[in-house]
Amino acid sequence: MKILNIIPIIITLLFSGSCVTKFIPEIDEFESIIVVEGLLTNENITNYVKLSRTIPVGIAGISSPILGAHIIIRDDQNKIAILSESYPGFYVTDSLTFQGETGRTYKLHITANGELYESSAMLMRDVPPIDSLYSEFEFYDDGYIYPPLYSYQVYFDSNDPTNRCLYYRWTYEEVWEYHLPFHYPPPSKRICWVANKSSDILIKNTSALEMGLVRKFPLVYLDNRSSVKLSQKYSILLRQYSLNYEEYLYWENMRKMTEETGGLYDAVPMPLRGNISSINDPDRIALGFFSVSSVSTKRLFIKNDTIKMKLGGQYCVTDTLETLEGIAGIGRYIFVLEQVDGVGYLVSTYEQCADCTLSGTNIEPSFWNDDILK
Amino acid sequence: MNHKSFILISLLLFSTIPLFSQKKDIKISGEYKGDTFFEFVTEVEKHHNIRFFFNPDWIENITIDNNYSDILLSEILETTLSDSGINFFIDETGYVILSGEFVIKSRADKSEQDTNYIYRQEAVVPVEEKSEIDFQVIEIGMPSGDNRGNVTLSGYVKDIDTGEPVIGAVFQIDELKAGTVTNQYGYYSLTLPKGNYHARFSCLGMKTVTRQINIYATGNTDIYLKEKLIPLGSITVTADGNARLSRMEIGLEKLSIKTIKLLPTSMGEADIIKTALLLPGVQTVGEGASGFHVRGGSSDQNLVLLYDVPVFNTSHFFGFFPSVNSDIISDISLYKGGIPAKYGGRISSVLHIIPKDGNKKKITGSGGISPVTSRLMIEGPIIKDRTSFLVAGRSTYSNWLLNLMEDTWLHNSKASFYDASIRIVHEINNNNNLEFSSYLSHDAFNFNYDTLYSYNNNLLSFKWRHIFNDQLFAVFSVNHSHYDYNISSSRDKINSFELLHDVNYSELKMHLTYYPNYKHQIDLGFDLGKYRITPGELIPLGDSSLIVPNIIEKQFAISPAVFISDEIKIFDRLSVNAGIRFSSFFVTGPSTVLQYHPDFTRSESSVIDTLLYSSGSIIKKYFRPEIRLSLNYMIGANSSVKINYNTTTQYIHQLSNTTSISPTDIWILSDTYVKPQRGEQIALGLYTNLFNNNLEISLEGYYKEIKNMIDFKGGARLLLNTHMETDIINAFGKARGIEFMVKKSKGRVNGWVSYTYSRILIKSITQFPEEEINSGEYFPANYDKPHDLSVIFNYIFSRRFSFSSTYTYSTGRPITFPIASYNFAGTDILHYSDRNQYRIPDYSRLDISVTIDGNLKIKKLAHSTLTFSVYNLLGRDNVYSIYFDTKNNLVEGYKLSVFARPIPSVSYNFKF
Repeated sequence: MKILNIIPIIITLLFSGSCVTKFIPEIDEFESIIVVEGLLTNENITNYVKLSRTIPVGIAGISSPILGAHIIIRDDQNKIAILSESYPGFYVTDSLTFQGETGRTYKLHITANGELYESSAMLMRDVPPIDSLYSEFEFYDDGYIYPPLYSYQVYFDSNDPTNRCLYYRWTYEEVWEYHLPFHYPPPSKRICWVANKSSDILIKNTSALEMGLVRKFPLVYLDNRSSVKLSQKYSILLRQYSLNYEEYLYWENMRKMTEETGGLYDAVPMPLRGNISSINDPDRIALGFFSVSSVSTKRLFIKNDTIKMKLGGQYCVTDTLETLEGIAGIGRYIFVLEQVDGVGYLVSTYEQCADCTLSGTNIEPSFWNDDILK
Repeated sequence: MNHKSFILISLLLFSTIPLFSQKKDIKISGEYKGDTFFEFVTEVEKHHNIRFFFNPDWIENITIDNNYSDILLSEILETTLSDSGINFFIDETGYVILSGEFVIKSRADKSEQDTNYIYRQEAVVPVEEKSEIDFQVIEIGMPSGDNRGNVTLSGYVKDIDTGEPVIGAVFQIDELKAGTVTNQYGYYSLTLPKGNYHARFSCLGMKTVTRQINIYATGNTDIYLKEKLIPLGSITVTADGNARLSRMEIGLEKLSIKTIKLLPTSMGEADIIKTALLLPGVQTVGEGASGFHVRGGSSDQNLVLLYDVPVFNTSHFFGFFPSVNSDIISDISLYKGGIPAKYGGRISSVLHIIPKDGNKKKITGSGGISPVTSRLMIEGPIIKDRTSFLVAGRSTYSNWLLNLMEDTWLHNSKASFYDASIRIVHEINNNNNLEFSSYLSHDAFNFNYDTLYSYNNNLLSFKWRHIFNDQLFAVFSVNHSHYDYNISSSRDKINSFELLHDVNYSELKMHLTYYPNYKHQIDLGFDLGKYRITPGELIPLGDSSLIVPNIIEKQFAISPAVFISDEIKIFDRLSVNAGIRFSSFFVTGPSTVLQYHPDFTRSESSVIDTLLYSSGSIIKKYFRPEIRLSLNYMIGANSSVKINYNTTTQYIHQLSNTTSISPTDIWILSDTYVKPQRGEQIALGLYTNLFNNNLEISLEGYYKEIKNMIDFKGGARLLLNTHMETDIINAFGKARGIEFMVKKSKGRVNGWVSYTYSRILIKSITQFPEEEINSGEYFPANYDKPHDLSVIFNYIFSRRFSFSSTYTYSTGRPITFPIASYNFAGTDILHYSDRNQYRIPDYSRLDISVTIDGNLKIKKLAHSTLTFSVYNLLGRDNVYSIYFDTKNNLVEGYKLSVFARPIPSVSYNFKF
């Protein structure tokens, strides 16, 4: 609870004299600001630049894409890539004709509604490969709580003996196979793959270290009690980006601004300034960042066939009641077939527990058996 | 002494009616059928050689319905006036003086205390020729032999009724145009050439005492002052008009507790801090904000002293109540500039709360009941005339009120506080005094069984006052101050936690005052302070809590300081106070100090080494000389010019990124990275008293620079931060302002108007452009409020009714707004303006109060007053804060007004 919010409560308690009313700040004429989100990598994929405008505070969060902008990426050898708008506000490079190269310097040029913007020149630094991505298993049984705790802490090591890259950013993508705990519906709705992208900002500055070295960086923690990720098979893909100092600071500030600090204190607000500036008018600001990074990746699989981990908690609550109100508090219910000792029962459960495609996809990812093939 | 307002005495002084024989036995005959007292007086004056003096208000409702035949006048007056609590006095000349609630006694009724080596004799002067009823001659030594050389006169000035010291009493020798002021223990000392002098002892609210002093040897005499014969409620805000002019300190404001108690408040409780805010140059960020800002200083830069011990938290309930009970206070002094060398440790101001000593003659007490709190104070002698005690307590019954609430949410909430204090003053002998004082306060509140917040303040002080000789006065003290807060939550077993922070400060002090002659007053001394701070400890509560303990290393330091200052009367009109304070600070282990790469902004990732210091080892030393210089030049009898230059240093800092002090703000010490804050101020003041000191006008201007102010980087974390140095940056502040005040202290209509124009701008100082706030440009501090106006108007209708009102206006304080929102890489981000580029709306508030005194009888169980007040009479929706909250993906602004409508309150106060 924030301290500011306590004060009205005290007043209310004592005197019922305070009041909180909506306030619309009188901003000296709201002027929407261009927001650039660009990522250029050395991977053989389409690179993108997203263009949008800020929206005033107090208006529901609808994005405000900028359409019909003219965007080019130019390197220090005057090689130019022209981006095309693939859907409103989303501009992409052609992966067949353009790809980022380590050691080159890139600049983004934008012409939107007659305004000219450009990024500062961004060097694509080399990135070392990720040394290893691994997990440490822990089993804990205190004899009281069932099921016992099976947990995996995923770590990675990265090593850059030549100090090519001083600043890092990491993102990851998790995918897990998930089976509904019932015998009905059919596999197309019962077996799914669920994906999750990292939301934390993971960055590190290794410049003060003698060698760029990351040891045992904790990535994710998994256990059988708090999630279903370990129920069948789990995979995580780590992407390691090289950063320039400028970009490192940008992410660092963003992390401070968006991370929950645990109550009591608000972070001291500040404007987040990126590497985009206006050409026509130096006083006009632009937000966002044009990131230029080399990328290395690594994937890890964790499979639940070595140990039979029991899932903790009731992820799919069932009820034998066939009421039209459904399960209390949920609203919707659907019938599934549950088999106990060879006898089938029709029970009602959440909609998500009857159709896994509501939370994932029933198409097996192409890499899903990479660990077996190796 | 200015008695013009009091016609009675003036008449006494200037009339030349010849001497009469004793008139006390005069007898009256006549028939009075419901006549007014006035008619009675007219009749009696017609037939007898008698004159009455009185204030017509007092006798308005008195009638006489009786038949007299040869009845003593004194008997008639006794029966007629005693019901109204009016005293009278019939003197030898045939004057009948009605003296209201004050008792006048003739010289014959009074006995003066004897001192062994002072020879006294009654002045053989006809009464009608002298201005004072109790005029006396004090002879010290004999005018024999060599009459050259200097001697010293010293002693205590005390209140005749309570035996308590009179602080700030002015002692003046007319012939020498020299004088001194009693110190906070009521002690005075003046060295002067042998000779015969007229000496005056005066103090606000007290009757001036004049003595003929024939001094030929060093000696001492205690002077007893009596409360002044003035109409009720004639309040005085600063010390005697003359004193303000001749005093050295520039930017010193004195407030008597009487003034403070008269002003309307929101909670029906006298509030020293809120009253101080009405003075020029003192500001707040809003209601519900504890702390105050003096001349562009942040709220942690004020040294608040109670019993000469620093108080770390000055309020209950986030600033809605003062933490110090007004019943234990005698006076407050606020130094905004011109801080004497004996005070150190904070850079902006010193708020010295001078406690009452306790009545040495008889047991008395006072108390009060208001809608939220009640309080009681009892004082009296343990050994008559030698030892006194004063105990006071205050508590709130808001818990009980909350329990009455039907709303379960409120019903389950708790909010309570209490404070208590005890003070014992013992006089061993004339030269030795012992004092013991202790104070504690406690606050606790929680909301709907959830998080429990509590905080505590404890003070402890032992003091030994010793008079080595007539010229050397000394105070030795040992003090301790403790502040802590504790936040805990136990509703959710898994997340149960306790968060602790505490500050411990102990000090040893030796202060000496040396009075070599009437041209010098030398203060010197030594302070040794010791700090121990727990910046923050998060610990799991209960066995099932999964909270990971986070314990921030404790901080230790020792802070010795020596000072010397001399108040020099260069010549008649010019005096100088030159002082220097050498302060030092030693940061000691055990401690872990991180070393950062010098080329990078300090952050977790730029750590290159970790140094471990063992217990007691010195990690960092700071030495800072502080200069305190004041100059006072009197222009004529009624005006003066003062110039002052000050440097100050501060080694303890409060971290707060909310605008006001909140109980969860933490204190930290200067260390390897957090440099001591340094203030430097130059001020010029012009003072003039018009209409026989009835109107005081002052104009002060200042310029101040503050180095090493603490500001926060964007996104800074203050709580449980293991390496605070990575989140704070150095800032440089420059403050300037003009303060104007007109004050009328006397008469039925009194009050003051103060207006301040001031600015405080700060800029970040860093070698790394990315750390700069607002691109390294100057920006207004959170509490920068350029225009600040206070108007205080008091009107005394009659002895029983008085009206008081205050009006305040100030510019809204600066604020940082989110001006837009956007999405980047899947995250919703608010785009903020530059720091403090906007302001909340201007602040304006009018409060009124009416005080009704109980009946005027002199003999009654208790003297009581009833105060009705309305806070924010106009119901103005003053914005305290603006905050933004995200609900359903919609960012919305909210403004919080603490008192959005008039808040009436009634309080009942009594004295016995």
